[in-house]
Amino acid sequence: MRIFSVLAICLCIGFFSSCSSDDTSVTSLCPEIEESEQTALFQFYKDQLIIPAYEQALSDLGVLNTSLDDLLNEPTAENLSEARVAFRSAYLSWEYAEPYYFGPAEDQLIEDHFNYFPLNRDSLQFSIDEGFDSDLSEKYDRGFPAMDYLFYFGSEDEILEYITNNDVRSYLSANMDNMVNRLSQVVEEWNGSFGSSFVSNTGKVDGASLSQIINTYNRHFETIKRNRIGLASGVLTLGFKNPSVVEGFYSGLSLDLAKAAVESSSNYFYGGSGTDSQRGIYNLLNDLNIQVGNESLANKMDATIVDFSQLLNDLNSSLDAAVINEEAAVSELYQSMSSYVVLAKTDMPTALCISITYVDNPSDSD
Amino acid sequence: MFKLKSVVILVLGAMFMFASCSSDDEVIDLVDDDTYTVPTLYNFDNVSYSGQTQRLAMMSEMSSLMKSAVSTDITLDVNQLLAMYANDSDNAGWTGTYSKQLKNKTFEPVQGAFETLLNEMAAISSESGDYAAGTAGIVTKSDGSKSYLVNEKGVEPVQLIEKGLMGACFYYQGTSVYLGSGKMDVDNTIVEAGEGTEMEHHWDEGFGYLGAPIDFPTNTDGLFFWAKYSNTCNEYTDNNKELMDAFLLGRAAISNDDLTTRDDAIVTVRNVWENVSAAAAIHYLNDAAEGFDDVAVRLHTLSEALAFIYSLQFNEGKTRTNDEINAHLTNLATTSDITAFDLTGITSETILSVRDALASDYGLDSVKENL
Repeated sequence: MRIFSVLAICLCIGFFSSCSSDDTSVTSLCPEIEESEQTALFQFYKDQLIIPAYEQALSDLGVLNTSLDDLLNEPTAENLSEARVAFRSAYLSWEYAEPYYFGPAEDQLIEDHFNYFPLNRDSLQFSIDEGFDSDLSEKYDRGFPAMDYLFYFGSEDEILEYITNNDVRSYLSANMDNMVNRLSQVVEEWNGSFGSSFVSNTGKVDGASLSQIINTYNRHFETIKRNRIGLASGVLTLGFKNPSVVEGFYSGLSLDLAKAAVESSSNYFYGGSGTDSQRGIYNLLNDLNIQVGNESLANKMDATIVDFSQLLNDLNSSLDAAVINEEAAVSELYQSMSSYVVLAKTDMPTALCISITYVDNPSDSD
Repeated sequence: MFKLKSVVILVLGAMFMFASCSSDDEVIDLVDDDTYTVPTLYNFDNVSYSGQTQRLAMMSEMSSLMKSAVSTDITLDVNQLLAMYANDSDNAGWTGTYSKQLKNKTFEPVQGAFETLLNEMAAISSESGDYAAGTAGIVTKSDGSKSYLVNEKGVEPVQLIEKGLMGACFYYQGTSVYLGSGKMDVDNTIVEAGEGTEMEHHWDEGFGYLGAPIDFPTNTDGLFFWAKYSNTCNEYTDNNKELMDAFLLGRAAISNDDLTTRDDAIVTVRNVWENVSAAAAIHYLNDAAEGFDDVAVRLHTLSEALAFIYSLQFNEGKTRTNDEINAHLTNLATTSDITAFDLTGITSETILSVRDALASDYGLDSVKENL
């Protein structure tokens, strides 16, 4: 009898606890964010992150432009070496400008003309033969990937000989001009009317600045997860690895580029480097007390960022080698990034009542 | 007194259980009164998989053409073979009329490998001499009943192409693509006449790659490719019924919006279809061991076995890793590269040891000698 009542109490406790353990619902839905807070946030992003990133990228692109001219005028091993150094700097700088794919960047189709990878060598050859067309889109034949190939595809002698070809020279020049023109335009508009409208475009509708930030942040992160890590690792292709589809395959820069991309993404989230930076989405989420399952969402995101950043830093070779030789480590990295997407692409937008508007991977037709 | 108290506590506890679970979780239906019947044949409303049927037909035409090349007076044109693969109808010389392609539904990373094999097929089709290690040619069974064209490494390319595409195209699409989240996490409400909902249609297309009639396995006439090979080993595996039942269950579940059961059916389809390929591989390895001394039998059956093992990779729910699958290929043919298999050094010990390993990997130990 006594046992019976003790059992009954235990059962009740059991019933109580089983209902709350799996609560992962997002609290604080659709918080109001004061206009002044929004404009301060956007001003900060514009002046401290976005414009500096674009201007640095443009500056480094200018240096590359000069070295390229030197190389094409005088194809020597020394000039090739200098062009390669300038290429590396420009490519890495670009990683810090790449996330902000809205407004001027989108108008200029900047990522199409800067960094669609992996390069399609047939497309590249066709375009070299036919001439560079600055209006073409989705050709996987230009931008940094084209230079990655043309500066690194073979031995120094082979490369120097190939680029003395008039077609190739024209192509490289036109490709560079196209990039400089478009990026200049982007910088100009951010420093001009678009920049101003960005700061004052408050609210939560699609196209408002907060929506642009949340959407492009996620979109960029997914390109890291999928295009820089996932596709090569085989996780998306039944375990068949594709080392050659990594960013910077020919130059061997894939790991450096991925690290820069991750750092750039983190800067976007924090509003600079680290959790003690000034004013980013991270701070916004904490100020609004956004929680998931009784835990700060911002802190959960921070912990995961720290996790996958460390996993990436632990890799020992370029990504094309790592997917073969460090399979388990790459797999763990991919899993960590996948878990992050849940926080960033589902929990965060839900909490802020921002719609995710981009389509990341349209499914193929029948 | 104790009894009364404990009863009250129990009741209160029960009340709290129901109350606190409902706040923002879904209501748990404690009594499931949604039942539906699963039909015994694939006679659902709005079923269409004509695209899949086309591809089976194209593969049949290609196979017939390639196999005809064992005749010394027939030489294959590589351009025709490649045109058939990519359905360039001007150059394919089809008997039927097709609007679909085999190539673009082949698992992309291996499309190039199959074109290499088609090139090789055409290249050796002009051989009219006997095969010897290092020389492509014809092998004939000791009873004179059949001949096969093999390459200089003793491999019969038509088997790699036919069974390899069964794997990299049909099996891949049926298990990984149509039953994968890209095709399953779709609308299941709007019914298009003749096709059903998007989800129903994709499921039907997955089924279409099996090559079975709607009353399979009661009816085992008109079996194409996978259904045929399931049937070959069915006496010892019972895969016919298991696979068909899973397809029937999944389709019925989808039509009744029971996605949980659909997901269970997906797992079953993937596992059983995998078992069909493993069993077929073992079957041919047994034939190879038994007929080892007959060069034609040995090389022909081993080529089939290799292709069925190779195919195991293309299932998203595969129970073994690519490395494990590739190890079997390497043990048999010195490499896992389908364009470079070499059977010139094969021994019957190796055949049986790979057979045993496969049987162990795929739960076919108890029937491995019968398959």
